[in-house]
Amino acid sequence: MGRMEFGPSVVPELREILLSTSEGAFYGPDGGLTEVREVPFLGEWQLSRLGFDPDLGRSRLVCVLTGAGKTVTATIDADDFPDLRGNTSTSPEWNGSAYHDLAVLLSTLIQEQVLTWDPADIRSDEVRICLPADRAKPEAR
Amino acid sequence: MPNVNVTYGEMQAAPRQPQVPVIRLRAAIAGAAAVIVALSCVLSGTAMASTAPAGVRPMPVTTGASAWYVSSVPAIAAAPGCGKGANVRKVVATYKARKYKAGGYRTDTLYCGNSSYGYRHLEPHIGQYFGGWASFSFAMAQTLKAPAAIVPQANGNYMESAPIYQCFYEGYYIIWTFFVIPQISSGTIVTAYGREGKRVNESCP
Repeated sequence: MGRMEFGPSVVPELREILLSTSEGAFYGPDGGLTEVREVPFLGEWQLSRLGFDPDLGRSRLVCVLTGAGKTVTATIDADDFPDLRGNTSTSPEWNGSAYHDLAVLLSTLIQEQVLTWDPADIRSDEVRICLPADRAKPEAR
Repeated sequence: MPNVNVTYGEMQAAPRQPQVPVIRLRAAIAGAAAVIVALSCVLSGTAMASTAPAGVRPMPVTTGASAWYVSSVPAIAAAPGCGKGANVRKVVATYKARKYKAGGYRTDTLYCGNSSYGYRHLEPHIGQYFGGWASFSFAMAQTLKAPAAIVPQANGNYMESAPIYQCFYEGYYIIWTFFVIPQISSGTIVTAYGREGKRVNESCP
């Protein structure tokens, strides 16, 4: 059996999310609003490359991020997202955006596993973005 | 990272806690002098704790976090209860969350969820933080109630963050940044996690 593949829409959707900016509200010690300013989704990181792997094609997505002189390559395998890999579903219970589930989930996972870390604290140059097996499938739905 | 057995806390302007050999955790809006809420984590024995405002006598706490949470965050369950057989829409907890650029609060909900959102999604992060589920849930509650930043994002989620002070009676503290990611439209909590920051070799502010 061949490798699973991602649908074509995941790259443009994920790129759009990663490169987006939004108006963040910042609060002071007394709880008062102190500042409103544009905040990039990537925070202190920059997107160097986002696309399918040159060798593996649509079975692997590669997202290269740089921050504070460090480069981290996030790899995302379609095999790890069998139910969402087509990027055609929308699950309103956890996805309230205009994007499909896979792009939204990947943006959340990249944020969790790369973007919210201080670049100096990421020990590996390569991060595999995935959902751990032990939480992948609750038995009751 | 210290292995702490969490029980509970004090409030912003509550009287100083008795000198118990403990580790304390503080959640602040921002800055060392801006303590809004604090949580005491006792290693053993009884601690004095309260969520009451200044002047209210602290309540002794000898049991788990859930009991302490009840008065200020009524819907936090004693245990998540999201094991096998639990429905994805089972409510684990609800949190009072500050509204984005507006007065007042909304209610955010943590469901058992699945691999994509909720308790089952964030569960691996609990062990990366300190103090177990009680401490983790407390940090979520404080971050949502008094965030340092709220950023609405293109993926339909807010990113909310706040510093959490983990204080040690040995005379130093560690500043964590805690993140909570609720869905903008519904308040459903997608994920949450903490990042350990710098250690400050001074008594907790």
